[in-house]
Amino acid sequence: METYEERVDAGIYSREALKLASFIVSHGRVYVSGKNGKITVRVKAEKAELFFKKLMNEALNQQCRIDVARNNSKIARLIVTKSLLSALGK
Amino acid sequence: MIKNKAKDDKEPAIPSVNWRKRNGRVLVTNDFGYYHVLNEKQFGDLLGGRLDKKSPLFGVLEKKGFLRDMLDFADLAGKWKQKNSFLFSGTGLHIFVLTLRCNHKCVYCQSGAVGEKNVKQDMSWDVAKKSVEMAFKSPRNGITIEFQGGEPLCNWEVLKKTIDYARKTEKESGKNLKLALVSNFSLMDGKKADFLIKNRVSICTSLDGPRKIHNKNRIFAGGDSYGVTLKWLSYFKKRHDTQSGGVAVYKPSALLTVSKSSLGHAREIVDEYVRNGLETIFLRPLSPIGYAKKFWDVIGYEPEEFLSFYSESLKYVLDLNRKGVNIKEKTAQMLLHKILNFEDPGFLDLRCPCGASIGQLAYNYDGSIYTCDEGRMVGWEGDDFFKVGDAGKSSYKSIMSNSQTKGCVISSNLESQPMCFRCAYKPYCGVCPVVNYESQNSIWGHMPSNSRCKLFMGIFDILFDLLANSENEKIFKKWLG
Repeated sequence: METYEERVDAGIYSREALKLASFIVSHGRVYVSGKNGKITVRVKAEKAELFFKKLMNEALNQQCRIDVARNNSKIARLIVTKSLLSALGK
Repeated sequence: MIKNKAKDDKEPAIPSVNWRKRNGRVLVTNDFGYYHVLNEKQFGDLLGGRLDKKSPLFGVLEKKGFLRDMLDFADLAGKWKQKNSFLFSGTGLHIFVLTLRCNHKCVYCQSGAVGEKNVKQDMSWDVAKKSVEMAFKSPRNGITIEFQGGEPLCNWEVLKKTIDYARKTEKESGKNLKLALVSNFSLMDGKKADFLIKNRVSICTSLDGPRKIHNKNRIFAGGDSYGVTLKWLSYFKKRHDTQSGGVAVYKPSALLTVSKSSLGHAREIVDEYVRNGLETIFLRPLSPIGYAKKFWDVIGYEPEEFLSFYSESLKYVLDLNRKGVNIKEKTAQMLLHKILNFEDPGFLDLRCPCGASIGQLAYNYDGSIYTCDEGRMVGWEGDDFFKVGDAGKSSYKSIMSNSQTKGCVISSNLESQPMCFRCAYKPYCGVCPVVNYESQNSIWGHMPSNSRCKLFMGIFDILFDLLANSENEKIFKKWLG
């Protein structure tokens, strides 16, 4: 198993996004450390650098989803709640 | 009309608008379902708050809710509610898979059909009865029970009893019930036809085109699938055309699953429908789900290939309309109901959230209940991810509040999809968690690389391009009644 690490910008990648990405791109180990705007992501995997790139790609995807969910949460929640309540006859 | 002025007149009133630039033009849409096509300069002026207030364009955009400070809330809210009316009612469509037995071996079959003699995969009367009782628990006043298979006529005795029981339950419950049967007609006879007509069951079959194409796709060991299909289509059509009072006889309908062998034969297929007196042709793309997924390289195609076929077919249908031939394309018709009339056409595959559980339920032959027929097909391949309950064992409440139902509702909400929430086609579109799951290993999917997204964006592109022509628009409006 190889190890690879890089510092990433916490303004782009939240810890939540990195955590979600690590569940999805799951064929290696992910360690996240650091604070104050800079995070270090260290991975252990076969072909660690490639794994890191896939992980960060997925983290960007997850971050995008987190941002969209946050911005649209009100309307999204209204639609989901209404549809589920109507399905229950309420 | 309520007009709200910006506090500072110099501040541009940037609207909430989604857009799509194509061929030097910009289609703008909003969440209420209004659309308009602008040139690039007009689009720039709209976003920059530089539109001339005295121009006709300003008036049109104001009326359509594209100007932030000039919103007619009553109109916009009304349009939104009308277009999303399904959000205010429960599950309408209940699909009963009466059997997996079938006497055809269609190349694109997604239903998991088995041989005709395999009676172990018939729905028992007990399961059917419990499924009817479950369907009537829907809070919706009008429900549809649609019988599918395999070939549902293979399980005729249970089908007959279920229809009788459903009509009896209809009377007792006070709900409105529609019954529908999807059949290949190979086991139809006069007695069965009389029973179905007497019980107001609407009939639908598959017609894939001229004999050569139809029989190539729909292999029938008993002989000529095309011949049998036309024989009974003609029979039911005659019964409809010659009815005179009494029980209403519905016109039979046919649909087409576009497979690889359909491509390149657009005109022949449309001509076949016209020749047989069918007024609607439903050009459905094949989905890589369940059984069809395994043979995708043989029967499937890229979105571009389908779109080329679809564009040629739809343009030919419009040409025929111009010559006075009464033929409509159903996908276009359903989407145009949303685009032009702000109506919900009941297209469960393309709405937000999708119809999984909250719009339809699929009751398998063994009583397992799934979010939808597509979810059932995934179940047949050994993955019960989309199973939500069992007829006779699960409560209606548990089905509607379980995690599979909630997961499908949440993941198909376009407001939570990164690409969809800002797409120009958002007011009219929808995603399918089952297709996402099967093709991209996640019910959320990933729209930039999603074939279904590409396909429907292409269909919308074709429709809006055609709508730019006023003659086409006139024909499309006629289709909407």
